[in-house]
Amino acid sequence: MKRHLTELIQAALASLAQTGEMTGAQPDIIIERTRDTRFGDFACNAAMLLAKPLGRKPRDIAELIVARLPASERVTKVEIAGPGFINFTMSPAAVRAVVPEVLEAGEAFGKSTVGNGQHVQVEFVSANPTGPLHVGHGRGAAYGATVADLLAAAGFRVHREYYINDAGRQMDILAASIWLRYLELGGEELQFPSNGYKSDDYVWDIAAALRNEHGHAFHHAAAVVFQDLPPDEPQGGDKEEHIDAIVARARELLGPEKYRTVFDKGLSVILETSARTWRNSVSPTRSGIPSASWWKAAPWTAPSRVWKTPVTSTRRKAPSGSPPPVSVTRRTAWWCATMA
Amino acid sequence: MVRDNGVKTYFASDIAYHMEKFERGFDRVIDVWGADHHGYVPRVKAALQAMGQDPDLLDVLLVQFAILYRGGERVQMSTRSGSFVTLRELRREVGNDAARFFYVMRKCEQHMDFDLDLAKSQSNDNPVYYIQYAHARICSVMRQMTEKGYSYDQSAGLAHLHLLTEDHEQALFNRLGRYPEVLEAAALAHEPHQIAHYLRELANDFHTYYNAHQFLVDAAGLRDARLSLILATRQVLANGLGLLGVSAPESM
Repeated sequence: MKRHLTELIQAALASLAQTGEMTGAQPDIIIERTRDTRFGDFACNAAMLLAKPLGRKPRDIAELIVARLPASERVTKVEIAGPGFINFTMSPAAVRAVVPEVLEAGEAFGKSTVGNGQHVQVEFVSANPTGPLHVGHGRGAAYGATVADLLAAAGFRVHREYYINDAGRQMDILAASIWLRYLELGGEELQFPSNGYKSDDYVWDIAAALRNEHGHAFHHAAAVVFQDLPPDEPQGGDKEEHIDAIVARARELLGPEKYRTVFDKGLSVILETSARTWRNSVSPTRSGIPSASWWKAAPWTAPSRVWKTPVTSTRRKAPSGSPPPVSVTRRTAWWCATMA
Repeated sequence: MVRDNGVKTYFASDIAYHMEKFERGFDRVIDVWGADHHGYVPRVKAALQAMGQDPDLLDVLLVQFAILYRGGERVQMSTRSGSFVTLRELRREVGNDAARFFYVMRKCEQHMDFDLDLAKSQSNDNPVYYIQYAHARICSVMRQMTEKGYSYDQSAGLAHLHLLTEDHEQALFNRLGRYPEVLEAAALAHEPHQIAHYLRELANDFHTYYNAHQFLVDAAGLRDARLSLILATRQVLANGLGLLGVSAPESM
């Protein structure tokens, strides 16, 4: 309807230009719903926009435009209101026409091409993967997923990107936490660091998986692990210093290759958990793992029914060729805020 | 950007990441970040400008965190101390639909209190329930129609739309006609809450119509016309809910 009214106004302006009554101006016509339907259904600002360039009163311009408006079956009344708004009242038949329109268009009703096929990238849930996705992330994730869907419905070509950081201190702390749980599963008794990942569920699970796959290969005696470390907070020390020292000790005792194995084990479990949560909304990109093959490897079963957005791998949706692996960033603030 | 020891800062890699986005050929880039990043936005934009990129092509949506409430009490959330609510747990508790809807029903920069009890309640105060119930009710009307031995004739219904002159019917026609405008505005402004609000209003228009009038009347023309109107309403409810990632149940 807005488009139809815009066309009517444009026709009137063209007619006025032809007769020389009003020339030159091509205003950016805006048609808006009226607040109160007593003043019609739509209001147009064209006369106000033309007043200044033409040096005439907006009401006079509005009168000229209204006099030249082509007749339309969809409009029953045109009025000039206030300083020079042109108000339109829809005909009852035009108001009712929405019903056949909806029933014919079905799921497509409401979609538009206003986005004109522009490529838009939406990046969201840039969380550190140091745990399963947390409710604190949920809002940004739901918001990003919905904005992406809305843009697609408005005719944009949308590329959703889920960006995961696999570097940084938090990931090291997670790796160290997993390793300590692994040692405990191997019979070691130790004082779990107060700043480590204490959560029973997933850290224990990852540690158990590590032991399943690698047996005793990563084992060291707790006494060796904790030898000469700065004290933890409950013992009067600094918990940050303590956990950093444990990370350093893990690297030292395990060596780069085994440390990387523990680190990756944690990362992949977290990614799988996150993927099950969000798989239908987003496509993860992670440095080092081509996302398409990663999707295939992820061991989920049936997708949940409601998270409907189709799964698209980064590879398929990128506008030109396959994107290079994304560099690593870190947005610890997301994570820190959820801890507060 | 680069520390004394040669390690690059997060900011440096973020700039590279954003430049790389534009190099991949995107016309616009939208980042959804936590509200605590507001100081970071001008830095990234300034960096883009310094690198010769138009900073206005980057939109950053800053999202305030949601705060969970249960029984009027704030639910503690933390990651490292061990007890925390994961998204999966939230979805298990309130369901996918309420989780998705509640998260987008306010502007992103507004704080939001996520009331777990409300999200689970079957009441008109629960917006997800209220909207989904409108959809289910229309499906139920269609089932009752069959039980009563009537059938629906769409072309007859469309031919008799002029019989629909009640205020409730005018309100529904007008509301349905606004849907494409609301969707376009919501998309261009990146504001899903506009859809959420619209659906509440549409559901309200339908429920009041339902309470005021009989749909399954004896007069076939009027009956088919009313059914056409509510079926169009059902379609728009389903379309809007679908965009928010929320299901449209046939019965509740």
